[in-house]
Amino acid sequence: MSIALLSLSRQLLARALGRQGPLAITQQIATSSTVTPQVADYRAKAAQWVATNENCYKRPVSPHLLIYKIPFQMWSSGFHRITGLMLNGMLYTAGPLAFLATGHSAEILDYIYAMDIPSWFILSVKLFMAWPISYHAFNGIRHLAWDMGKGFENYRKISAAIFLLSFITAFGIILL
Amino acid sequence: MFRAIVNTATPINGAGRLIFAQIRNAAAQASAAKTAAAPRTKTVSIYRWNPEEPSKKPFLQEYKIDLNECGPMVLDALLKIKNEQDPTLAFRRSCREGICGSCSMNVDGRNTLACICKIDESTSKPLKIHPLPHMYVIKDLVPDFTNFYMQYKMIEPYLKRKTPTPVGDKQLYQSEEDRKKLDGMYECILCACCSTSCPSYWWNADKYLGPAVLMQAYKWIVDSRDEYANERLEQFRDAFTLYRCHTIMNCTEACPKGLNPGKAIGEMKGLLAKTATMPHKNSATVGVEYK
Repeated sequence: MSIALLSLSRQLLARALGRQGPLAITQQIATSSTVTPQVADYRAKAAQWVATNENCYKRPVSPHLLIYKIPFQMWSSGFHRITGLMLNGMLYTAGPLAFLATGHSAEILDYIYAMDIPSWFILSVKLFMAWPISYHAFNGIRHLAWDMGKGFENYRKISAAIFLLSFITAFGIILL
Repeated sequence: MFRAIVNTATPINGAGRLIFAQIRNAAAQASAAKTAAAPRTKTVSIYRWNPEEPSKKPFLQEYKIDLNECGPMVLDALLKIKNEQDPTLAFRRSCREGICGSCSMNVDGRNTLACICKIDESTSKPLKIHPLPHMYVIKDLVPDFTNFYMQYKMIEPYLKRKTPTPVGDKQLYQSEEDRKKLDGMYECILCACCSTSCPSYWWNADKYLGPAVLMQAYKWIVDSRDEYANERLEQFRDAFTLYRCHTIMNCTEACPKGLNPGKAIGEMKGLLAKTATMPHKNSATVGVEYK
């Protein structure tokens, strides 16, 4: 179990570092590390442009993240990344813990029951773990569709539906 | 003596003087009515930076305008301020009807064209105007578009053909279905509202092309008259040029013309990953001779 978790976590880490989307395999075929001469030429010019603005003209960069009024759609995308990070964090804490706890799970459960933690706290901790899973899964499916060029027409409604569905699923999981 | 001079200096007879007085009365009443309407003073705070004082940090300058004496759009307010209060204020504008794309700026936190963006009438909140986000500022609301135009040049935004077509000899025909594929893309005015709303473009403007330019690239890819679709697609195989798009969809949210650059980029990804097929081009490549 723990070995499987570790290998999965290594895969996830590789994906996180490589910053690949859900269509990782197809994207690997689609993208290549080499650039065409035209792109290389453009990049050289762009680097020169940055240097000229920064060093020669000393122009300021106009304000961006702090003044931008974030649309709902951007939250939907941001939460995909945040939940992805949360899942990674959970994996790296749960993986070693599961390794350490091999063969002692019954004792640990007894210990937790004996601590007499209020049920609302346990439920909210469970929700904190269940919602990232459900949201990242549903939004991941939608990213698959997006990378195939589909699902761009009613995207706001789909985002709202994914939020709703992920919460319903998370509540369903924690109340099981 | 003085009174006599005044009398001789106004050569208006009795009746004329009466009419004149009536007109003046009416005008006075009208102006009284105008001042009677409570002035709706709106604070406009505008991003300022002067290249002649580069050490001075950019700041927000506040202006007060009366909405009763100002046109309905943000550009009207800017022009009023420039005309009446501060001629040093710099911004781009041209057509004032949303077709030239010059006056793109960040109004109340959203990228839009100032000329087709209505002023928020509630006077409690100030109207905040910034230049397009994460751009090098030339002065006040004028950003440096050099990179944006270099990117547009890179995608070669013109018709490219393999079959030789002597100029002025034959017509290039396009069927109605093929023409429809360009709808929603040819309307783009390259105002850069979408590109500068995109966080990926903020962080990687020197490598990632941004939604506006990518949508134009896709326009030439699906154009039935262009014969370099595959070569054009091959440009985008690296990790940045196209694939920095993470489908945040800020571009589509921001577009003042209501276009969907996110969709064009998604379809391009589909073509590159071979999960979608190139749209069938059913136009005659070269038309019959024109008589």
